Amino acid sequence: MRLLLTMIVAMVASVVARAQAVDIRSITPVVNLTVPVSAFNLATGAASVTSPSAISTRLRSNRNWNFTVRSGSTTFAHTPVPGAPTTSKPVSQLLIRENGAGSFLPISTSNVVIASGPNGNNIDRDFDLRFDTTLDDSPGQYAVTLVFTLVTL
Amino acid sequence: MSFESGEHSATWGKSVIGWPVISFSRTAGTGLFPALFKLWTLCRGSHRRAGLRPADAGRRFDRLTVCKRPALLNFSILLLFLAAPVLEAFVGVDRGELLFKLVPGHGAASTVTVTNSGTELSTVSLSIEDFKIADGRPNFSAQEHSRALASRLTVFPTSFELKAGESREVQVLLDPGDGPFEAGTYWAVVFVQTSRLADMVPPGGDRQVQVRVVERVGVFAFADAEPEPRPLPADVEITGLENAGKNLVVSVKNPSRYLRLVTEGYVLATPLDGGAAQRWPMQTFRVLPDSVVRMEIPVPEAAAGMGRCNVLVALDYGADELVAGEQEFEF
Repeated sequence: MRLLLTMIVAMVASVVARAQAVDIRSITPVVNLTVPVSAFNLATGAASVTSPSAISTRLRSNRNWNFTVRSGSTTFAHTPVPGAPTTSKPVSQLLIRENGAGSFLPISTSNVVIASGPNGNNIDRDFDLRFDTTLDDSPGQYAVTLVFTLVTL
Repeated sequence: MSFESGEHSATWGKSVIGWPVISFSRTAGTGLFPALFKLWTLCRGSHRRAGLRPADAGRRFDRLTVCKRPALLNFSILLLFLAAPVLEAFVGVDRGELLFKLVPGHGAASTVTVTNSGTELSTVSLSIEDFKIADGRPNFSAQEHSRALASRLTVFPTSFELKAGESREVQVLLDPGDGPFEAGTYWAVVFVQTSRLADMVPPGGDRQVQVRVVERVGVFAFADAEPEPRPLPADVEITGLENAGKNLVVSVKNPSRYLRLVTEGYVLATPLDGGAAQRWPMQTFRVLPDSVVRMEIPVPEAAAGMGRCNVLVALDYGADELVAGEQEFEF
């Protein structure tokens, strides 16, 4: 009888445990940044715009996990304003870091680990984005796709 | 150094970094408890019944005894590891890895259930890629290597839509071809990717950046050529143990050409002043072939104030022996 009860408990616990997922419950689908003219250093012609917590995620994991990011292309897709030339701008001038943690990492087509951690429910991780530009970059829209990958370890 | 205690024995040696490594063997012994122990391990196909208790809370263990735990408790612990890991994004999957045998001329199939756990319609696409191993972790950007598996795997379907809350089963098929294969594990990863439509901002006069985010989860596929007999050889080592504040970091080396799955492990922290010991469970994790992995083990809040402790880490990956190591830390 005790064995039967134990097996029932085992089955219930297994179902409950299985229901625990490793997941990203939410992730910001698109981020828009604007570089205002006032952001440029007139001496160097450079500007750097940072968007804290630009990308928010909520993870759940029943194992240790690893979160990486890479770009889908080596350069931004540039749509210049009418009359302006097209700029081939490397995606490495877009940088990412976990919110407030350490230095920014340049985006590339190689996967870069931006977060990892132990199992848990409702693990909130936000990521800051930084965009570096200069007056040599034509005005217009610089678009890129970032691929975030979650795996268990 | 070695000792024997009933059905269990231990040997104590030095790891390559010079700190003690203890391995525990559970084969010898006679009597009722050893018989029950053997029956239990046979029933569950593994060897993880022992709870380790320091008999001497000195600066180093010079003697260890092994105590049994009540069967119900042990069964409960087992249950925690029965559930397959589950991955899920807005579109998730019900497992983190697929295990195959790589036998020339013998195909194999497995399934992954994909679920849209979000609140919107999602378009799902699946792809298979090879990857290399770097610093114990998968490096998805480096793909070519001698034990690549992706070309032998297919998924069906490769693209579909899922409404919120919907699930769909995906077939993962292995066609090994004629071989031959070197003994060891071959591997690849199945990516389940989703993307959502987002309003695009039309270009303006300023410099604007638009970052579109795509999320994907990875399901590892491992296939063993010439699978090893059980129990597995005692080749896994603990090569380091660090106290990183909120986490203990244990370095585990797998020198073999096969994947090693650590299916159970625990940390036993024993205060040197004689206070009550604490046992912290560890999550299942994998050690990829020919690699060293650094696993973080959260230090529970209850450990605060324990003072100087002897910390023992014991891991079970299916060998006849547990692999263990110890170090002293302040909590």
